Amino acid sequence: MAIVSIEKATRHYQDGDQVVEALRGLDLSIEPGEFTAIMGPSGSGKTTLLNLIGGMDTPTSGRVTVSGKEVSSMSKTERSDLRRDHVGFIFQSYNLIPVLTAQENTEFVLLLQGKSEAERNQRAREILKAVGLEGMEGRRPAELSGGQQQRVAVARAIATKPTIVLADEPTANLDSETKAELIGLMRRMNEEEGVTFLFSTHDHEIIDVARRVVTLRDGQVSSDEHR
Amino acid sequence: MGILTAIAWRNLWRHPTRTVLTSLTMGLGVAFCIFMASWIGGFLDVMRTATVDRNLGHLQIHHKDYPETMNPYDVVPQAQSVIEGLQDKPDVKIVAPRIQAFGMYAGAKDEAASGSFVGVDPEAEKNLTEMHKRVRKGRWLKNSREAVIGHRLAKELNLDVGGELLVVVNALDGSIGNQVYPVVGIYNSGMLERDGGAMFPLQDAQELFAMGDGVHELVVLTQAEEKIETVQNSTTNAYPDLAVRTWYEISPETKQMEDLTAVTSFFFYFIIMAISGFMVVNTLLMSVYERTRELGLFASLGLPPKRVVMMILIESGLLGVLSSLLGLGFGLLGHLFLANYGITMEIKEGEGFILNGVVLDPVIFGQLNMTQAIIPLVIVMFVSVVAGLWPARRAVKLDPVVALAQE
Amino acid sequence: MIFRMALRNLIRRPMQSFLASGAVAGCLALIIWTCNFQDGAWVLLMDDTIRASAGHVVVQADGYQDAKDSNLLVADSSAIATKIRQQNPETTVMRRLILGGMIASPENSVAVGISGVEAEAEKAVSQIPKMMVDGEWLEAGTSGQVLIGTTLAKRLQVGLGDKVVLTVSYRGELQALPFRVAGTFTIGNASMDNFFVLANLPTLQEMLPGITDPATMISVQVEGYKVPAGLKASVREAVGDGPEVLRAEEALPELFKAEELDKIGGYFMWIFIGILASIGILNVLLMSLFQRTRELGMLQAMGMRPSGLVQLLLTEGFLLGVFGALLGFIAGLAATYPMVEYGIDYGMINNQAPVSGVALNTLMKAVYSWDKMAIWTGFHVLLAVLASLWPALRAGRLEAVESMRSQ
Ligand SMILES: Nc1ncnc2c1ncn2[C@@H]1O[C@H](COP(=O)(O)OP(=O)(O)OP(=O)(O)O)[C@@H](O)[C@H]1O
Ligand SMILES: [Mg+2]
Repeated sequence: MAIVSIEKATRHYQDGDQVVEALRGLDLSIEPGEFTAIMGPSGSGKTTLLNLIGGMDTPTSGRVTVSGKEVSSMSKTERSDLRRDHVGFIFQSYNLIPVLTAQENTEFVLLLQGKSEAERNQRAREILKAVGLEGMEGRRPAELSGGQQQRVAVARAIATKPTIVLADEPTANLDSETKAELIGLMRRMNEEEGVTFLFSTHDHEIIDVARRVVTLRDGQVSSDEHR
Repeated sequence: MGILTAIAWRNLWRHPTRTVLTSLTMGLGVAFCIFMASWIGGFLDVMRTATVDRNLGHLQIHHKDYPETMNPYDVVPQAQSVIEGLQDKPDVKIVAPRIQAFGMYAGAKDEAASGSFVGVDPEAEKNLTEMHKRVRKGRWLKNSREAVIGHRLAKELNLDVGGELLVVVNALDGSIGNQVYPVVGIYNSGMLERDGGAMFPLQDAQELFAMGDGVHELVVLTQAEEKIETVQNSTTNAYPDLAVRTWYEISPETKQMEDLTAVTSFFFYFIIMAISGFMVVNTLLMSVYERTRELGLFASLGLPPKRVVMMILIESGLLGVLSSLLGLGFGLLGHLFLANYGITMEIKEGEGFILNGVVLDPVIFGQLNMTQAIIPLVIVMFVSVVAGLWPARRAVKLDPVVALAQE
Repeated sequence: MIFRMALRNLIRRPMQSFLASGAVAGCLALIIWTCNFQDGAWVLLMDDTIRASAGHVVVQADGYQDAKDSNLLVADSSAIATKIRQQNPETTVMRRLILGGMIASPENSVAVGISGVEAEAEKAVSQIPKMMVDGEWLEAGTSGQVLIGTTLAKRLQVGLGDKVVLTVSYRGELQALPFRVAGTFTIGNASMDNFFVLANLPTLQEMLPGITDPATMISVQVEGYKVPAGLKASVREAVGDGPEVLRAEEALPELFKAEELDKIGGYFMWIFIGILASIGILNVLLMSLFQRTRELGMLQAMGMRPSGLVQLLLTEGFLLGVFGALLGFIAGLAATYPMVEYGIDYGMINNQAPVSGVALNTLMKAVYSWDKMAIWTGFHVLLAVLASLWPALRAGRLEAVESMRSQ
């Protein structure tokens, strides 16, 4: 059964007296364990799509279902809880809470879930080790490189074993070597931990790693290839 | 300059809430100062009315020993010619002669009391101190051989308008003077001492004390406050044997109060200064911090540091102007309220604070002179610009490369 | 964790946090200082006035309070005083006889207020013994002594040991008796130094015919300045029916009214300052909210509920408040300390006393009003939390997408 299903989703933004149609009747469904890339030119609606799935935003019309729950009819608090329990987010930059250490950042969502201190601690260490940041748990974001920061972001996103991890251009600010490392890490997590990933990118290099590539154009799916 | 001002102005409105809150705080500080000034002005006015207008006049002339001894024998020599001489001066408005003495009084039912005895020229006193308005029952002195009595004395003697007052005094020739006067009015002057005594027409008093045409005191009202010292000097020159004193020499307490008020206002100015300086630094520092990148861009475009400083100072200056306007608006509103409705400071029914034996009016109406309204505005403007220096310095110390690298 | 994040958020912006809590601290310190000083001044003023012109409970002839008629006297006063003492052994009981009259020397005669006092008891509560210029305080058992003000002495042209004649009126009869000047004092209040005469009670009592052991008031005094709750009833029981028994508040309504008015003025100013402080905090918190919108958006993306964001910002406000209040409290205490230890000499206070006829200690010292300091400190923390309410609620309303889009 699909963990994410989107039916005829539209999203219109009011920009002054002009209506911008970011999504125009988009259909998509994601199966568990997938590692999917979303491509498309700037303004094609990638970010909007990810935001709808993560409950950051609601569709103007259509249905968005995550784990069998309809997101479009949820309250703000319910959507918060959906993200807390089912969704992991990774952004292009500013992923981390500047005042918290790598360890604390990773623990943060577990804390929101009400996990015990011991459990949090152990899980965070485990994950940070898995992403290759052993020994850097006590550092704050400002004391980490861009690539390391994104690794912490990945660690945090998967720490709760979410249904799906949504990553919006996670590699955009990185050099090509670090880029490959990060995407490799995500792929490994996908294989080893069985985490479902959905990420947007402009980058053709990293698309090769994806097993499914969805291309958007003008707010609609223009191609969807499984490899 | 024009473009810098435009940029500074738009920068202010990038965060309208912040700008409004900042200028609101500073404006309220200014408004508070203006309101306080109005309140204090009103209080001083009440105080001056009670002491100067209702009793002391602008200048008083006595026998040179009288201020020290208050001895009834120390009369002003040739009072009549002094009065005429004074009345000829263009700066002098009113000259009122008084006899200040002490008498023993008795009413119809044998009650006796002692109290002040004041002989006055009814017309002059009416114009000078408006004593006729202080008569609570009956009327003010008009004819000879009649008396008005203070409300305290009236109570003590159980005497009412229409009753008869027996007065016994030690006359200056060593005899005992006594006389019965019909009571035509009861007054409440607000002066404790005077309210425990009685007032009589000048001639009757002179007759009773057997003092010819002598008087103890000449009270002078000049045309304007600024003329006081001119008249004092010319009078002293003309009559070197007389004691000629201004009201503030006679009653330094009133003057002291005014000085104390100056200290108090200074204290308030200091507070608004602190508050506004604080707010401006706060706001501008934040805006400099958040614009680090943008300021770097200005620098990279080749805007010289001097003009960057200029831009930020214009911004802080504009903030000061805004605050001043708000403060002036609120402050004047507060003042108008105070001036029209007043605030009642009633200690006893119908009586305000008692200051040095003088009862003040209970309702205080706002009084504001323009300087007092402007000082806080100037302070706020000044503090705003000065407080802008710190953030401005920070802004120019930024290395454009470092600033641009910042997110 | 929320607490820790809030704390670290504040530490991360040391400048802003310092400015915001500085606003709280400055205002609180100012309030604490003025509050302690005002309380100190009033405690002193009330204490002096209550002790010297009435008592914590005072017994007077029926109707005296309203009429202030010096003919209304309590007879057999020492018997009554003894009864009160027996009933309330912890109190000090003293009698006073207050008469209007005249004092005369060969040179001059002046209307005065005469107080007959019990020399020893009065010495303990009056400020005049400390204000003696010449001679000594009254001696119990020595008849014919008077103390007069230096101004009055000049007017009468008398000095230490000189003879003066006191004339008092009682029930319509004038009684005169010779006295000797045993001392002179300067209170600093022009009308009092001119008006106030002190004599031994027994000597003065002799001047009044037809009444045994008379007194105007029997003053019952306790330690401290608060009137004990049951004192009036117990004095009433000892006195029986007849004379009026009043608590200090009833005997000196002007004093308590003046205190009330002064304190209302104080509250008005303090609340205003508090408002300015909270706008300051509000401004800083709002700004930090704007600057961190993206960060807050990320917290939302991670599943933090709107209520969590509200909590976070409220916690920040609370911490700022606690920190500022702590700082302000310490600063306020530090500013109060020298005022408690040394005080300032406020010579003018004697001219501004709400109840005339009382010599006041002019060295004003502050007191530590712990309860008020605690309330104001708590109030400032509350202000900080209230001021953070708006930014907090705004954060709670943020739409996740919107916040992520902001830079
Ligand atoms: N809040 C908004 N208000 C107005 N228009 C918006 C808003 N958010 C998005 N849009 C518009 O919707 C369209 C889709 O935006 P979206 O951010 O989804 O594109 P994208 O594919 O992520 O582009 P990029 O690759 O540049 O990140 C764009 O034209 C954008 O301008
Ligand atoms: Mg995008």
